[in-house]
This record gives sequence, C-alpha cells and structure tokens, in this order.
Amino acid sequence: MKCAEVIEWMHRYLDHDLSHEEITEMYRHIDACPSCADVFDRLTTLSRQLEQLPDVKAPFSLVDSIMPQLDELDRQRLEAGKKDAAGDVVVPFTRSASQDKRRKGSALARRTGIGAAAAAIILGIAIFNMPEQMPGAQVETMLSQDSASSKADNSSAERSMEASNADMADSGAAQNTPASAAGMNEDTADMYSSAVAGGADTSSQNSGDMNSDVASESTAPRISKKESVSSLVTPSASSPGQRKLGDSGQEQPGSAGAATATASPVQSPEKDVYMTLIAPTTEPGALSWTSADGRHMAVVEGEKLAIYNISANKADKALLTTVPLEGKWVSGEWLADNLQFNYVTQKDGIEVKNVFTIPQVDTSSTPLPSGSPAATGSDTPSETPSIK
Amino acid sequence: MVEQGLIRAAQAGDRDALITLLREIEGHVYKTAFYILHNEQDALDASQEALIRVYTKIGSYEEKAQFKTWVQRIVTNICIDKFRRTKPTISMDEHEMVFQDKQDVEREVMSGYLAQDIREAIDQLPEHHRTVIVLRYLQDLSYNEIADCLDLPLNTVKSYLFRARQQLQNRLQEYQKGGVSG
Repeated sequence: MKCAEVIEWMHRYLDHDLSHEEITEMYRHIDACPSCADVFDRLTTLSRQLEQLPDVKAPFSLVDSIMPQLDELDRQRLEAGKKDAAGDVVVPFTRSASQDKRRKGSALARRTGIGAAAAAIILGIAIFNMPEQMPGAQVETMLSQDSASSKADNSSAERSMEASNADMADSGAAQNTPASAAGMNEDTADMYSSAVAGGADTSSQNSGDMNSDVASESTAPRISKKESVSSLVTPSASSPGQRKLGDSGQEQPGSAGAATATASPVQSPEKDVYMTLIAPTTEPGALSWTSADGRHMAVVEGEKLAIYNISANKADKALLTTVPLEGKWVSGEWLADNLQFNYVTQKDGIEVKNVFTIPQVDTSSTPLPSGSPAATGSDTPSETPSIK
Repeated sequence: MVEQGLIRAAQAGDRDALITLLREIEGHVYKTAFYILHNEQDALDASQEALIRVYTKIGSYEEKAQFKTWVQRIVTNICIDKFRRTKPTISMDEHEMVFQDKQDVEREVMSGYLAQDIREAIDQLPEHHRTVIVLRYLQDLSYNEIADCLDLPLNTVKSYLFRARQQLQNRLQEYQKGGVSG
C-alpha cells in the first residue's frame, strides 16, 4: 500500500468513511511508516481541533430582528393573493363582474369587446329561435324575443346607465325612467321589452353609434337580422315618447324620442353591436311596457293585464281595458306597429302566447309621428357626444 | 434535529410553526455564515437573508431532501455570493505574510493549534474548501449531505475536503515551525 493512498484513507477515516478492515489495514501501514504516522497525528489533531471550534451565536435574535420584514412579506403576499383571486374571477358576463367597479376601467374595453361578440351571437340565436324569456335566468343567456333591439347588452349595462344618466342631465328632458330602466336592463332584462323609444328615430343619422339607429346600416353590421331592425323603424319616431309619467319637462312631443334614443351607450370598437335601449318603465320592478310610440302602456296588475291609453301630453293615462291573465306572467312586448301587445304566460309549466290588439279607433286620435324627426335630429347630435 | 411535524405545519401555512422553525435553525444558520464569512456583520446580514428566504420558500422544500441540508444550502449559497461580491479571492501566495508575526510562537504539534490559528487558517482557504470544512465540522454533515448542499459530485466534495485539510495542516505546520517564507 502506497503512502499517498494511505493518506487518503486517513482523511476518509477522519470522516468515518472507512470500514473496519480498511481501518485495520491503514493502521498496519502507519505502524510501519514513520512519515505516515506523523501525517496521521497531525491530521487527527487538526480534525479534533476543527471539531472543537467554538460555537458562535449572533449577538441578538435573528428571527426577532427580521420580524418586521416577515410581516411586510406577509402583507405583500396577501395583497398579491387578492389580486390573483380577483384575476380568477373575471367573468365578463355576470352581474357581479359588471358591477365590479374596481375593474371597470381597465377591463371595460376587453369586456365590451367580448360582450359585443357574444351579443351578436346571442342575437342571432334569438332571432332564429325566438326563445322564450325565463324570469330570473342570467341575463347573458337570454334576450328578449324578436325585438333584438330591446335587449341591453349586459356588459354594457353599466355604461348605459351612466350614459342615460348623462343624457338626462344634458337633455334636461326630465325622463324619470331611463336611469332606472338601464339598471333594470341588466338585472331583469327579461322583464322589459324596453321598446325602442320613439328614439329609434330612423331619420336621425347622427346617433351613428347606436344600433337602434336603424337608418344607418353600418351601425348594426353584425346583427344580421333585418327583422328586428325593421321593427324598430316602424315606430313613429316622432311620437311624444314613452314617458308615462307626466312630469317630463318636454313640451314638444318630438324631442322626447331623441332623448331616450341617446341613452344607448356603446363606445366599443364594435360600437354598432350594442342594443342597449332604455326601457321606458315607470318604476323599477313594475311590470309595464309602453309602446314605441308612447301612446299605450301595458301593465301587469296582479292577475290582470291592464292596457292604458296615454294622452298626448303624457300627463294622463286612461285605462283602456284589462285582460285576465291565465297562469304566471312570463314576458310581454309591444310589436312594432304599436297596436299589438304580445305576451307570454305560463300555466302548468306550459308557456302560452297571447296577443292583445289595440282597437284602431284609439290610435287615430293621437298625433302623428311624422313631425318629430327634425326635432330629434337636432337634439341627438348634441347629446351623443356626451356619451362618448 | 428539526421535527418533521413542525416543518409540515409551517408548509401548510401555520405561521407560528414557521417562526418556531426559524428560531430552531437560526443558530445553525449563523454559525455557518460566521465561519464562512469570518465577519460578524456579514454573517448577520447573510443569516437574516437566509432566514427570510427560508420563510418565503418553505413551500418549495420537499421532504426527499433533509431539512438541515436544505437550510444549509440556502445559507451557503448566500454566503458564497456575498463572499464573491465583497472579497477578492486570496491567492496561495498572499496569505504567507499573514503568519509572519507568529514566527516566535512555539508550539508542540501534539498539543494542538490555537483555535484562533485554525480560524485564521480557515479564512485563508478558497471559498469552496472553506465551505466544505464548515459544513463538515461546524454542521457535522456527511459527504452526501455536503454534496446535496453544494450541488457538487460526491468525489468533488471528498477531494475538496481532503485538500482543505491538507492546506490547513500545511498552514498550521508553518505556524508551528515559525512560519515559512514564501
């Protein structure tokens, strides 16, 4: 056995890495080799000294000294966790998401984009399938029946609320409904047919970003249904508007429609897709529908459906007739001719479609809509910019 | 030896357990840092940094490794980084001068060296040699555990350790002989 090899074994011996046989062999060599014995003595001494190196301690508790930093780390982690959690909850179409003001600004563009695409798809389905509305279902899953125009895109609902508020302020047309109606579009969209206010004023090219503006084809490119468009066109734009509460400050019948029309929001890239319209209802929660020309209102009153005539100045409403309802109320809406009210009730789990038609006599007495376009045209431009 | 249950509790988010764990290891952490860096202030800084890292990374510890080697790995990495930043590597030639003032001290080989001499000798070792010596003698780790800590092959660890001891012995022998001119 060579000395160099023995010296390596010495190291291994010191590190408890030798077997008994190896130790024996190593000692045998050391006994016979004075120089290796010398090295061995030095190494064992060194190793013993190293093992006896004094313990050292920090002059203070290190853990205590870093406590403030640990607390700070915890705080940061907590915040990061919250952010992550919030990030996971991005569900653009739910009510909670649209009401989440924290994310409103940053995610608005994205959400409106997604919402626009979804709205287009849903509208398409709605048009071809004519789905029945289901009370209480998620807004995004449903649209009002054929009048696609009436459904506020959910994601834009909050926007529409703001917009309508702004409009109210700007126009001074003391509309009592739009603000609350916009909110309701979001919450109970199914409940409101939200007829396009006389605001669907076809002649006003100005409200270009509103899809309800049927006149400009470009506004609703994705909404491939002419049907609903045409239904919007027909309502005489000029009619005094669907304000049922007589307190509106508007004296001129024509301008009312314009004010409501401007309430639709929509600034997204695909700005045309939005269908947000203000349902002209009296109060939130009330089941009532006003015809597009503003002359008739259908109200669910308990077990009955009441049809009212609204006077030209909108100050009064006169009960025209009541219809007993068979079963549970599901939905209702005015048709584009303002004379026919379609509604759906549910009895024993089966939905029944009903139609109520206004006698022609009444309509003839109301002012003709034709006068308004000029008025609306002038009003709308000034209001539209405020929405943007 | 740190109790496994405490580690699991700490990993599960029990902050008290984690703090208790840190208190149990802080002595070991500081000792390693002190002997590698040979400077109290640097050792304090490195130890605090290591403990904070343990605190934040406890979730990434896996039981297939020993907790003590996992901790030592953290502290030695920090020390080596610190060492490289603050100290230029001392060459074998430079250190000779340090021992010249000890020329007159007489020592018996078998009576052992002064602890202070050993510490100074350790301080003269290249960083990896010093680190293996510290882990072997101050933390009482085996070859395998040192290899785990330093991410080095087992044979490299052995080689570092042998050479480190040899260098220490040579230095101390020079001491004992009254210094050898370089």
